[in-house]
Amino acid sequence: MHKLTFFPLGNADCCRVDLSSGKQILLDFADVKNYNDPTDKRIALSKRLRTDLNGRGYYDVVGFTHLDDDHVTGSSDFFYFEHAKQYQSEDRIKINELWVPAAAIVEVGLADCARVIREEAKHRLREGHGIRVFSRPDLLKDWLEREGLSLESRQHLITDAGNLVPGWDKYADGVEFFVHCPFATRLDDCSLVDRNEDSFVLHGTFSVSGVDTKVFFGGDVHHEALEEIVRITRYHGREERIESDIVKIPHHCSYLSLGPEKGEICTVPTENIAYMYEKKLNGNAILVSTSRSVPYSDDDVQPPHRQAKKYYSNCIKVTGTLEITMEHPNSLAPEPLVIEIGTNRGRIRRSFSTGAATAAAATAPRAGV
Amino acid sequence: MFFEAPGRPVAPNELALPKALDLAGYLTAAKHPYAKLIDTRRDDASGVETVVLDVIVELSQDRINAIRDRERIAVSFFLGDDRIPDVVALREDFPWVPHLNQREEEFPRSFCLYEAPYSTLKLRWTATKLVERVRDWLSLSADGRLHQDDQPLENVFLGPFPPLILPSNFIKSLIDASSRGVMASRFWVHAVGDDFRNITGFVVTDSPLHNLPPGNDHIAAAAVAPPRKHGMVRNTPRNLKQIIDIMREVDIDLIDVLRQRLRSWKEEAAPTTNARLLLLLIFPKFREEGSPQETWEWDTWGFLFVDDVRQLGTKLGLWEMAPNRALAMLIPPAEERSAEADVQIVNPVLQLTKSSSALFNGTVSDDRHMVMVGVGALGSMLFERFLRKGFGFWTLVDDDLMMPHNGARHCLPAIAAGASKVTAMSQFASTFYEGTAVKAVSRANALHPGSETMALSTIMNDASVVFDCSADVAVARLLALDVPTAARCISLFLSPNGEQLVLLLEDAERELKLDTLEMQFYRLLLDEERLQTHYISTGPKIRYGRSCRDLSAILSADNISMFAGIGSKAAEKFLHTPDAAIGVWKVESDFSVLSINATPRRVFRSTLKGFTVLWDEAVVDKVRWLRGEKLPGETGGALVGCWDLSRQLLYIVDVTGAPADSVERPTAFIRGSKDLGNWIAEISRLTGRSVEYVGEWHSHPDGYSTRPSCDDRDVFRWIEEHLATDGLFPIMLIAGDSDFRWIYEADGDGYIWEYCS
Repeated sequence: MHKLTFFPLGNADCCRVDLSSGKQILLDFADVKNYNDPTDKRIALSKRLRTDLNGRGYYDVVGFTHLDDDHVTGSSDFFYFEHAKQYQSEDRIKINELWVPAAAIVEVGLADCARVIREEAKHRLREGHGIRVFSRPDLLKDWLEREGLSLESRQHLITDAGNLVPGWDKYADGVEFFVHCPFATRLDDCSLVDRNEDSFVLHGTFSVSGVDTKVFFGGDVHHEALEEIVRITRYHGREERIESDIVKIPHHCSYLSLGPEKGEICTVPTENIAYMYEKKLNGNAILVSTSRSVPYSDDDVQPPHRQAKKYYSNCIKVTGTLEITMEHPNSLAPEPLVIEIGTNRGRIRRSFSTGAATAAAATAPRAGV
Repeated sequence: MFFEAPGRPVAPNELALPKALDLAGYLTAAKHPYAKLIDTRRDDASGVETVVLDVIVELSQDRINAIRDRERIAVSFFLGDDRIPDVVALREDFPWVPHLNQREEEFPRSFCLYEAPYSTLKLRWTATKLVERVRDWLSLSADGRLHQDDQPLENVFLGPFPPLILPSNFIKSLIDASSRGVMASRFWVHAVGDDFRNITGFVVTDSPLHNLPPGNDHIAAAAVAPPRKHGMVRNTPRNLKQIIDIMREVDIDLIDVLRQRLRSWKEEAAPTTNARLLLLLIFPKFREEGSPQETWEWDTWGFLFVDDVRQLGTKLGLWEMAPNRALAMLIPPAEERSAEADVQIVNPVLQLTKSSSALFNGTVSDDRHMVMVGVGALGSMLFERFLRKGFGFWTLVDDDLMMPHNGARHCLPAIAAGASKVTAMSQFASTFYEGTAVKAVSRANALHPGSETMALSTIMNDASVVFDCSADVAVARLLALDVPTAARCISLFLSPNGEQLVLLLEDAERELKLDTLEMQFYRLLLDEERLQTHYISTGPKIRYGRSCRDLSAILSADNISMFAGIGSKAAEKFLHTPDAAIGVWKVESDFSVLSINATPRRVFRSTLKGFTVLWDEAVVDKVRWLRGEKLPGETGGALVGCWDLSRQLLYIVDVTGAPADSVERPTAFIRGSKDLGNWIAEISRLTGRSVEYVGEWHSHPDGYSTRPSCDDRDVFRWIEEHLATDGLFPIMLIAGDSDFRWIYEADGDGYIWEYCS
């Protein structure tokens, strides 16, 4: 059995993939909790991950789908980075393989955690190990040449859209990942233009005893890119790569990940996005919005948007599930959302600890005179 | 979308029933993240209060049953809290799933949440537990796991209906008859009860019983539906019309079937028209399409008609009843009035069989032929345990008669006094379940069978296992040495005070027989301090007759029952392995039981001058160890063992070390005597005077032959002189660095046995 865990972080992301083989993959890390605000219900991510690691000390893979704050905050305090001594204290969590989009190599002007991740990615690509860059290889050619490296020597560390991530086998590891983004589109003059190189989007196929469960990890992709992803995938006849049992909804349930207009009641998606959600969702689908509670009004321009939620709710029909991370199991006390993946596909854990069990697991308050 | 819950809406705090108030309060406080209060209601007429809630359920994406992640539930609590609260799904299209309560109305569907009685559940009833049980029930139902593979379906829910005990092959024979086109199978139903007015159950037989009062007879008719995947009866029929409707769904015209049968009964067996009808409807079910018939379950419903056949035929329009109760056939039949024919549901249950009894004991019926020699207190109690778990097809051998005092500890009651124990036990066994596990009985005395010799020999030859429960060591020796059988033998006996149980089991190849295991048991008594009360602690005896042997030891029936349980379980377990076994269990003063097992050791033997000496690896190990400890000097001591003079056998059980005043030099050993007499006496005492001094042993240093020296021959003559007084043979053992040499005559070279033999 595999397990996906989405952490309640407001409009921020962190998803841990626990594979039955024992391997652990972390997609994004944003410890955004305000530790000075006792009313902040977002989870203390670093502490929780350390508890769950239980002394393990590393992840097999840490992927940053893109380098915005809501995907990287706090990572420079949590992870062990090989490129600089200051990030190498004993208690830091090591990364066996770092997954980044092309922008993590070529983008300039980054600051804080994003800069640290970029430097780490560059360091690992220079060293030639522990890194996977999702990019059209030629996009990195100039950077590599400036570093005195040939593209051929680093080709094996670069995965272009339309390919499976090397080293992950559905039968041996119980999962394979298909890369949707970043991708390039061909212009009329046959030249290629790179799209959305700052973010990667994956489609995972998890296998348990021959039963596949398909998970779309939507990153923060906007409707223009998602429309293109679906269109290109359909064009290449790879419908199975947009078919999903579980979808991590892009960009915290923003209408902009569906279409250009928010709509009054329900966002209308673009043609191919509608195809993906209305034709390619399997029965009893689970959609996960890594976001704050969805407001009833439109006062806040930031996601989540109620019109987008309405659209997603319509898509799952009566038997599917739409989960908002900050509302799971309820908005009073959000907890990590755990989806087990087994021979009956996904299963959202909804266990309830009795008072006695909770008391036994906690330290009792001081007693006595 | 949703059914309306019973009663009228009331505020949560207006509820009066404590459990309803508790559940509503719990939900109002929002302590459970997956349960939400929707409504609270009261039915003023009945006092029933209902709490309506939504629960969120843990579900897999692939579901066997269409449960939704949010279900609306109504929990109705009853005035007086004397019935289990009724939990129903309010969703109108809530699916039919296993473990629903049978009710007159199919909807709303009522959950069967618990197996335990409500009186037990009430002790730990909380709102949280109820909500969690509902969520768990829904989750397991969605996965199709609520109903385990080994569970029958609806029948288990027919709790309050009187049982109908059917022969174990009843349903199968009905199915077979039906498949041959025989639709009028006839059976007899006999009411069982405290008296005529208080019938508590029914027993079905294939012939009438004459020892029951008249008026209790019923006649049975059965109809078999085509097999289908799921059970189909979802509500409880109350009259014939509702049953007819159910059968119509499976294309069976029950009116026609009943008319045919009633007509034939009238024509062929007029007296049955006074009997009441028992109608059995059988629904074969399979779990998966195409599964073989052997795996089907038979969902059997029984309906007992209030009317007798005469009245029923009238309601079926088959005949008219004249004032003199004569029946006039109507051709064609008149309109039926089946709605007027009320029925009572009975709960069909198959009779216990040997194999089903084994299943209830968590084991598998063992059909090997087994013999029990001796059905006294321990034997009879052991036999009862074996019967209950379907272990063995038995021949019982005992010439003893049941005496009144036996009733104090025997499986049989004192009322059986005067009867042969084996005959009475056989009759007792025939009452346990359908059929019997007793193949034959023999009133032979195993030790002195006389004219029964041949018959007993045949029994032993035919057996797979022979249990010696005779409490007589002579029987164990007989089975081990004289009875020509391949049957594996096992001895079970108690210590004289009844505080220890001993089990000796031969290996499957019979390399280690009961006699040699007996010797190893004696050594266990010498080595294991905790068992040393085995023979030396005996209680007083009670005289039960005038003969000087009419004495019976005082033994606790509690101990015998307990050791029968242990012995039964241990015997079954050990008989599943090919190895020999020695086990002793001892009950302590605080009622705990000490269990000590000894690993049986390989036995060696040598025939010397007409008698056979037997010794085992433990004796070899001890001699070599004692010898090694004293090298380069010689050492030695006494041999202790057990004579079987009737068979010319000498068992070496153990050896002593050298007494303190012995002389142990590299070229000489003079066995001293300090404390040796006491040691020998103690050995004899601990083993119930079975083990005694039988000879001497000493060692030779490394590099020296074990050939007896002149001094050795003098020692032998000394032994010979002493044992001759008792009429016993002398024996001496010389242990060298690689061999044993058994000296059995003063002038000979003896018998050499090398350690690696």
